Amino acid sequence: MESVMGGMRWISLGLLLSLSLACVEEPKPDSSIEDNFDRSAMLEFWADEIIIPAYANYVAELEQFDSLNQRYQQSLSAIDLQALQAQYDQAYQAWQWVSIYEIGPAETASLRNYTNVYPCDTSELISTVASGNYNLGLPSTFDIQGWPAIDYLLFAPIDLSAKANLRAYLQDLSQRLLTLSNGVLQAWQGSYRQDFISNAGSSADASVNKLINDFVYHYEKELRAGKIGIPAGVFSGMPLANRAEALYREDFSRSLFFESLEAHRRFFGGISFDSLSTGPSLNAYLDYLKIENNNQLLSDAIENQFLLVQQQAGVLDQDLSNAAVNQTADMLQTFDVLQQNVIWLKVDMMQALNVRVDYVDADGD
Amino acid sequence: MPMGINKQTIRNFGNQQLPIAPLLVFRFVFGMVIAYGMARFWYFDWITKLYIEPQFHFSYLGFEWVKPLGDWTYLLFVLCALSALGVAFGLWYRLSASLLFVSFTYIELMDKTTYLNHYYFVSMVAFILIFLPAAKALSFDAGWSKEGIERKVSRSYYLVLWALVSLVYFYAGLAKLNSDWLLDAQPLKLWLPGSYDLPLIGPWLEKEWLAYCFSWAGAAFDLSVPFLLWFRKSRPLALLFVVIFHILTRLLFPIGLFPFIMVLGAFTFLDPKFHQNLLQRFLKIAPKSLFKAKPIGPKMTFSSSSTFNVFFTLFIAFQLIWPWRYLLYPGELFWHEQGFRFSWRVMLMEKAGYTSFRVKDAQSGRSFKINNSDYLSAFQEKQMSFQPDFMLEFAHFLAEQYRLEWGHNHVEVYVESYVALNGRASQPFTDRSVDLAKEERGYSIKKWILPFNDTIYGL
Repeated sequence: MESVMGGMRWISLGLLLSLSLACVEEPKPDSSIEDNFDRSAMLEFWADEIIIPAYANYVAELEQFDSLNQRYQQSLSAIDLQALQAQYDQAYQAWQWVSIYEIGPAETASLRNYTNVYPCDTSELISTVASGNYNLGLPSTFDIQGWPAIDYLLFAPIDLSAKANLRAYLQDLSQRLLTLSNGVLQAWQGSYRQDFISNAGSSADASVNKLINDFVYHYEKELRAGKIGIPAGVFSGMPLANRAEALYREDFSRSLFFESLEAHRRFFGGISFDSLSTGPSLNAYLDYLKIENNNQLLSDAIENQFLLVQQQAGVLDQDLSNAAVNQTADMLQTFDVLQQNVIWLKVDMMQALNVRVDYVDADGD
Repeated sequence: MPMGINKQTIRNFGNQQLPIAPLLVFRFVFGMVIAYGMARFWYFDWITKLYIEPQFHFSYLGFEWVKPLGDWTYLLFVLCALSALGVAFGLWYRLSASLLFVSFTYIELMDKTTYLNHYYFVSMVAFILIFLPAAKALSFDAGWSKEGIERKVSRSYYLVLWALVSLVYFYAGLAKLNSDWLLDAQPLKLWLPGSYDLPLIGPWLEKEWLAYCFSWAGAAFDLSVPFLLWFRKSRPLALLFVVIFHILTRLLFPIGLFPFIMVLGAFTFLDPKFHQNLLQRFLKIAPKSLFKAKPIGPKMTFSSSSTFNVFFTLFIAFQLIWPWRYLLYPGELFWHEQGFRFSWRVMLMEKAGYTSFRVKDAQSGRSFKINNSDYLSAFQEKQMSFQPDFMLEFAHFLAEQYRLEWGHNHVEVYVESYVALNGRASQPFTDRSVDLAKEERGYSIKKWILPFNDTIYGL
């Protein structure tokens, strides 16, 4: 009996211990723990060699755009307008390299929504400008600002030089893009870089998890659906030419698509923004875990698929709104080639890397 | 039949009187844990995210009428929590236990996206509790008289709980006897490295041999623990295993209240003296004023009726048989999941999918893809993307939407799906040429699921 009671005491202690341990909700990440695949090094590479240089480049192009804009606003000369239009190309392309990284300061600022929601609601834009009363910080104004609105102002046949209120609005849009993006860049150059790198744990809101989610989301929703699928009519059953990017600039949407595709490809492959160096990224991580897919490395399958997309999109008209109508089959084919990588990235890669799709973090069993 | 084992012996065994104390402790802790669970749901805002925000909910066959109640859903959770407290403190016990069973089960039936084996377990325990004399002492109903601890109840009341707890472990163990779990250490090989940042054990979790150790130890634990619990001599060892096992799972996986509930279940096996000591200690610190009222004789006993005995024998028999229904379906269970739920198959698979739907107007020939997130929450979409009964139900929902929108019945719905199971490469999951709008929901074999191009040996 004595020994039984001794056992009981021991068990009560065990129960108490188990209850108190079980009460620890989320284990705190500790980046100092040794880890064979160095996730911290990957985060550092992403931050220092890809994301921050891409933002620095984008902000530089925006500053150039803004100063050319001011010059045009004073001179209203055709030459200055041309220079401004040319710089639009540069800056809009540069945007494609940062659009993926909607994390931290960019997420807080809703940068993508304030920069590139298309198509622009032009009648809303006209009436808003006419009213002279607008607050560009409101979500209801997503589709009358950013590059799609600038696209309309610079390239639609509206005779900008004769409309002072539209020019003033253009000035506001340009300034706003610059302020927002500069804020994000400064946050990255300031304390956010360290937050991002040191949040190297495995929880759902740790940096690796979040950025992989952002990357895959961007590939699926922005690149595959936004730039190709929606104009091609995949979700509507008929081509929607006016849903293409850079509608008024014309002959430019395929170029924007290629920029974005290349940004995805390089991020996956661990190629620095200046393309001069390589570092650890998703392909290396998959290879480290020896993940295969039908007798080849999954990373190779994904990289090859990126090249196939490039090839397939090469047959499309430079203006994807034309391609949507005149080359519908080719557009749909491009969508399908893009789609294969959604499956590999979202199902195979995320399972292999044990990355949780971000959703309500309910219990499992 | 061996000599001496006949109906009478079984009846005597079941009718033998055991102290009520373990039942009292179980009732109290179970009620408190469920009340805490409800509060936790509210605190994490899961009521809103899981039951109020989604515009569409996945239903269990035959329970399509069980839906969230809009803002009243909060009240349902309050009702569930209050009835759990009623059970814990033995206030209007029978009514409280019935309400607990009904409200908890209703909550679980509202959307099968959130299905978890341990919620099913809680429902079953709540059901059993309705018929147990668990509030016949130390309760508002029966008074707080100290002598109440000495009361006794039939062993059959315990047998039902013990049988269910044993069955959960044993069946969970049987389900692990397959080549993925034992020979490939999957899915643990995928999951364990994800907790690499745990203190102390973290760095070890990436080692492959550890995944094998955990797999084999887990299977051995599940299969042996029911037997170790039943015998007095091995009971302390079993309890030790139970506690270690559930601490580990709690640390490694987002597993909610399951560890608490299973540890609690295992404790009902312990020598009643343990529970009596526990209660006596509790009585010492409880306010004295509680014990003035209702001093009833200590010698009361509560015997189970033969209806109880027969009914719960059938109940356990059903529990033993039901998990085997999967054998009626051809192909790999982990792949097609027909007969997967309600069978104590816990933490067996890492499965993910990508599934898209194409709706076709058969009159005009026009067709287009659906953006799942227009209708489903991210959690629903994730669960739908690899479970065929979800796909079918969602396809029917889409068909109905477009029937209404187009005003005719010529709506076809096609599904394209890719699924990856336990670290294998993703492969096509469904026959893209089958119009799901014409497929009926039910227990019949889903022929539009493509065969699994690998073999998993074992159960």
